[in-house]
Order: sequence, then structure tokens, then C-alpha cells
Amino acid sequence: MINVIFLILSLFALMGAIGMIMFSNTMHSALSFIVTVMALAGLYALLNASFLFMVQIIIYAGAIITLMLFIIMFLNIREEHAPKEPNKYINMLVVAIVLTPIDYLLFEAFLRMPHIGDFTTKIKNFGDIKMLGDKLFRGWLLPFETISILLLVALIGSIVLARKRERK
Amino acid sequence: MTPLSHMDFSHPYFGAFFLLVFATVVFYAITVLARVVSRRMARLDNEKLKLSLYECGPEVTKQPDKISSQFYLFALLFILFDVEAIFMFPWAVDFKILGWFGFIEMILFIVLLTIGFVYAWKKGALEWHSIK
Repeated sequence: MINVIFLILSLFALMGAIGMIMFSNTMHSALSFIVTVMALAGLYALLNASFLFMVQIIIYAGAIITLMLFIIMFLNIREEHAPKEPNKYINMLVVAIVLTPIDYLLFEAFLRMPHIGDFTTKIKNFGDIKMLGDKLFRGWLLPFETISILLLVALIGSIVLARKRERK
Repeated sequence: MTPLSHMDFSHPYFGAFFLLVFATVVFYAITVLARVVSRRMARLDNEKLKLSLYECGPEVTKQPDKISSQFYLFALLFILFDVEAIFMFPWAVDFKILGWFGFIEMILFIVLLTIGFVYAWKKGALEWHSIK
């Protein structure tokens, strides 16, 4: 049953991703991406990775998608504005062939993983927020504080870029 | 295939995800239903005068098709503070284990971001169209 849910969710994730590159309407692409993000959140929930699940829903589905839709609305992109791509499907096929070695590498790595074919979690408290917090705040102190500096830089940068250029 | 047991759904977050999906589906169903029903029930007499733009007195001009960039800045600031808030969550869960050490760590984290917040405030980024 868990396997069936896993397969359904991965199918949705793949369909969303394919839809994102296939739709010529930008808005439809962005909405298709939501399907992928939600399906991934479901996979994280299935793995009991509660923190990642939360991040996926709150940050990705909540904020990043909003930002993407904002950009599309802000620039007022319509279908006729998009560049014409007569060889779209041929290009996709070529890229897919070029990426085959990387796919093979990923597949090999996947086959070597322990507990293959079994998607229930073996470790107790796997992905638990309590355990993650303990690791993050004890072992990874400096990276954690660096995050705040990274956020600070992003904040200041966005304000500097957003302010109006002075007219000379 | 292993049969579904009680233990499989013992992770609480999958239930949360299930509810989320359910709520999303219901939301979309209601939206689509409202559209379909209102389209069916509305009278469709398209007189020219009825559909024309109307304003009292001044000549009607079409609104420019643009959205203020300020919206985008607000969304960006929202994401940054969203990320900050999400890192407070594991700290809050482990608050008792981490004690004062974790508290000071978090205060440092918040202080660094408060500098950014004060900067945004002073620059007028939180007010409409007044970035200095």
C-alpha cells in the first residue's frame, strides 16, 4: 500500500515536471510546478521527514510559487510574447539523450541504496524535527548562523535593487 | 506488496499531507463549481450599453496593464522572513534540551536579521512607493 502511494505521488511529480516544460502558457507551467511541489511534499511526508515536509509546503508551495506567479503577472507575459520554438520536441529529445549518462549514474546510485524497494523508514525517529534541531543547533552551529547572514545579504540586496534609479 | 497496516499511517505528517490535498481538491471543486453554476444561471443578453465601461462624468480610460513592482518586493521580504521563521521551529521543539546555549544562538540569529529588518524599515521598503 505504501508502495502504491509512493508510485502515485512520484507519477504526479513527474507529470507536473513534464507539464511545466511542455505548456507554452507560462501561467500553466507555474501551476503545473505546484503539482510537482505538492507531490514531493507527499513523498517527504511518506518518509516521515517532517521538517522537509513543512519546508516544502510553507516555503515552496507557499512562498516560492507565489513569487513565480508574481513575476509572471508582473511582467504580464502572454503566450504570444514567448519565443517561437519550432524544434521544441526535437531539442528535448536531444537533451534527453545527452543526459543519459547522468541518468544512468543516478540509477546505479539508486540501485546501491540500502533497503531498496522498501519505502517504510527503518530508523527510529528518522527525519524527526526534534532530532534535526538537536543536530542543527549542536553540531552545525556556524552554518546555522551563516544562514542569517545569507538572508541578511539577500534582504539588503533586494531593497537596493528595488529602489528607484535616480534620474539625472 | 505488503498490506496496509496501522503502523504505515502512524506517521502523523502523512495524515497532514492527506488533509492538505483534500482541502486543495475541495477548494478547486468549489471554485470550478461556482464558475459553472453562475455561468449557467446568468442571463446572457449582451447589449452594447450594458457591457460598456461606465464612469460618472470623466471620460473612461482603460487602466494600464501593469502591476507595481512593490508587490514583488513585499513577496521577496516575505520569503526571507518565512525562512527565518521556519528555522525557529526546530529550536522551539528542542528548547528545553538546548537551554541557554540554544537561546543565545537563536537570539544572535534573530539580531542579525533584525539588522536587515531595521534597514528595510529605515529605507522605507515597508511603505508604499517610498524607497529612499
